[in-house]
Amino acid sequence: MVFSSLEFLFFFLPTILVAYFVAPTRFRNPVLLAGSLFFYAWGEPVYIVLMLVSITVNYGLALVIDAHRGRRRARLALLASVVVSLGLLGYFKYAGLLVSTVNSLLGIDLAAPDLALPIGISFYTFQILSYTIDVSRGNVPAQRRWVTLAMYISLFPQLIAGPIVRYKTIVGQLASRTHSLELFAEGVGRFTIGLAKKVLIANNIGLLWQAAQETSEPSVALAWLGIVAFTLQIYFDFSGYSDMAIGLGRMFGFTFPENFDHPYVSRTVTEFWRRWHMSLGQWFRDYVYIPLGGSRVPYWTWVRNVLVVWFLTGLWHGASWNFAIWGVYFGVLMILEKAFLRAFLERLPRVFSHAYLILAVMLSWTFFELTTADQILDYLGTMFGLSGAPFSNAEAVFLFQENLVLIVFGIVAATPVMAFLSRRAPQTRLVRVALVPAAQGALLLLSYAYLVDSSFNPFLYFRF
Amino acid sequence: MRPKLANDAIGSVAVFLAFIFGITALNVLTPTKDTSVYERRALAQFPTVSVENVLSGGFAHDFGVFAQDQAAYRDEMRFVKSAVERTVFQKVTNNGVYPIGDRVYDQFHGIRDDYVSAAGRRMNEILAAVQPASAYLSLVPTKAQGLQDDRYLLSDQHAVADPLRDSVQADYVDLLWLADAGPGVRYYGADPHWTTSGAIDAYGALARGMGLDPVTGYRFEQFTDTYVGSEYGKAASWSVPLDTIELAHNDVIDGMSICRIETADRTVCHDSVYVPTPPESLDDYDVFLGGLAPIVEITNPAAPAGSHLVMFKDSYAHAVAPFLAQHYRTTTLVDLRYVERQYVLDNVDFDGADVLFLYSTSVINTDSRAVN
Repeated sequence: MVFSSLEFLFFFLPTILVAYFVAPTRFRNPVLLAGSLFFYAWGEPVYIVLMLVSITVNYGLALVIDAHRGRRRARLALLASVVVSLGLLGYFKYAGLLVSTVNSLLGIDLAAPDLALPIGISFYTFQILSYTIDVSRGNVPAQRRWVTLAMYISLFPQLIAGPIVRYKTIVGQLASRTHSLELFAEGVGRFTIGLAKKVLIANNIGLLWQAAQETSEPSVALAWLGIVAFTLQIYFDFSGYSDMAIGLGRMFGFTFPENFDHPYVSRTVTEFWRRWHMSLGQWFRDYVYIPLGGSRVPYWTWVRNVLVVWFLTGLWHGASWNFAIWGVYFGVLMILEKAFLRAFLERLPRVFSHAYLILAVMLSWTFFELTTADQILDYLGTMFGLSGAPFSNAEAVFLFQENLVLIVFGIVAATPVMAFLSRRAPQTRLVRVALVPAAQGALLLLSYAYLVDSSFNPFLYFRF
Repeated sequence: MRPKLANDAIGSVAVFLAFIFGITALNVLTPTKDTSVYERRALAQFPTVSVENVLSGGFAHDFGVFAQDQAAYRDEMRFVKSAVERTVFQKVTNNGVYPIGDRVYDQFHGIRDDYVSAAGRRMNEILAAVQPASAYLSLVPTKAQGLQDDRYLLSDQHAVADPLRDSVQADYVDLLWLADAGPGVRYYGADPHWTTSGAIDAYGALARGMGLDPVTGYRFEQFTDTYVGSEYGKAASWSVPLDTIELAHNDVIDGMSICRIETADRTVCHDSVYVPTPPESLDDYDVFLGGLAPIVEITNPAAPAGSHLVMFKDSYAHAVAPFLAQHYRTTTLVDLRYVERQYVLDNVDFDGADVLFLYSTSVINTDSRAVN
């Protein structure tokens, strides 16, 4: 079940809101756990067992770590937590890739396990690891209540697509949190914005990307138009989902970390990754990059650290080598930026550094979204006029005209302009009491209208 | 006194709760519908609850489809979305059609040369097998061909018609000009088919091309003025009205009867070429010959005995067939999308028959099995 679905909006959400707010305070965590498990089981009626096993095993291991912190038994328990968590992730997500790679390299024909990827496993595995590692580091005590830990891991707003909320970030809120009309209203605003980003922009512009891929009349212009569309689609898709998650969290009294900060206004790849999927970047920084030595190491060790982190970041996104290449691509760009590129770009007018970043990111999306080497090379070949396709044709012109308003709106909405205008708008009582709710109501109604008439409602990060 | 901030928040919270609980209540209270009149299709019903269905994820998927199909004010919301697409996002398409003013046009774009050449090859194979007295080929223009504005993506349907004209061993009767002057009254506003008036114009051209003297002078009966064309629901535009279907009569047409061979074991006969659609029908165009069927045979007792026309066709032929049938004792309509060619060759009498291939350029271009 995704947030931008009718069954979530008009079946699950009303039910969980009533159950949660009607329940006495001491029962609210169990209600939220039950609701979250139902939410997960809706999409994964079988793999919910896997998540519960993972939660329970790590619940016990964290207690052992806490009880024996600093001693060998704690280290063994942490090792067990890492092995179990990454083992499950590896088996269910990467076994197929491993087997097919071995088959290719050795020319053999081992049977690859035919496993569906458990929804959200990449997210909840990282949350579990952040918990046991932080307990091991002494940053937080182990959670004594299984229900509380299980609720943290399975909390439906962030379960399947993040943000990756670290245990220490919300440990206090798990025990006690504030509910108020203001917080709920904040959550409503954020959720509404996220829903509109996802339904009105991402899904809509995604049709252009789909048309560019499926065209029987490829052209250079259409290939670029398509990748511009995907660049916007993935941003509004994922950031919209994060907004909805943060908004839902607010309604239930949680404050989740931000996940996006207008990444496309960045001037370097390094800055882009400080603004894109921030909770993932912070996770890799704290649990992989810094333990490897971070930047306070000899140069070539640092280069290795960067490449390892970005190789893993790429693979986290999907069990396919194109994702690994995608990650390493960014790692290499960051190394180059630190070596000379950033200094060079800073000497140029800002427009050049923005253009560099947008071009670098758009190119990356080709090997993020297209999975086979043939697809990627074909598409890049068309983009750069190497495939023999004409520069433009009637279909490219038509699709450009058809989507121009949407593209312009998407580009503007991807910048901080909207937030700036929102801050500069007069904060009169009329605006707060009438216009803002009216605008939110209109966005909700429009989102509903689009959902009712949509057969195209993918969620790109669902597969991770 | 309540804090000012809390008062400010009430509006947002009230709107949100009214939205999710209001629509939830409407969904629960509104009776489940079997069909969508505007979309002309059956709507999903509440899925089967079983352990197997739940564990396989089938229930969750089916419930999602059910929730979408049975959403409160579904039709109205589809119209809202269409209006926003065209006014806010300035799109000219909605669900793959062009709603323009009070009419809807199909998107005819992208020529499938492989489909076209395959159709031509199979037509020649059929002609070689049946050795007809005379053979004719004609192609029905798409309504979209009448669009004059460059803003619309439109392929030239001569790219479908010309190769067939040049390759099929039959006399070609040109009908493409019918759409060149604009759709006018020759096509329904929200359906790709000919109106009765358009069918009469097409019949006139066909008859002349086939060496027949077109019959003129008909009485017209209004069958319905609430015809929901197949493009009406796709366009979902308030400015597009429902269509009117008229039926043409004269003594010869009124004396015809039809037999619909629906399967090898089931033949249903009617004493008119116009078969009133049942109340639950989603497509009033089915009034013409009772709708699509593998083989339909029209008998005209007023025509000379032994005269026989076999039409290989798609749905566009249904409106024009009663007029052509005025010249033949028997007119057999064959839709090769629903019956194997060999069955037709084995079971239809081609002895001394004229053969007419009458297909829409759109069907030839989009359905690889239009002529199988």
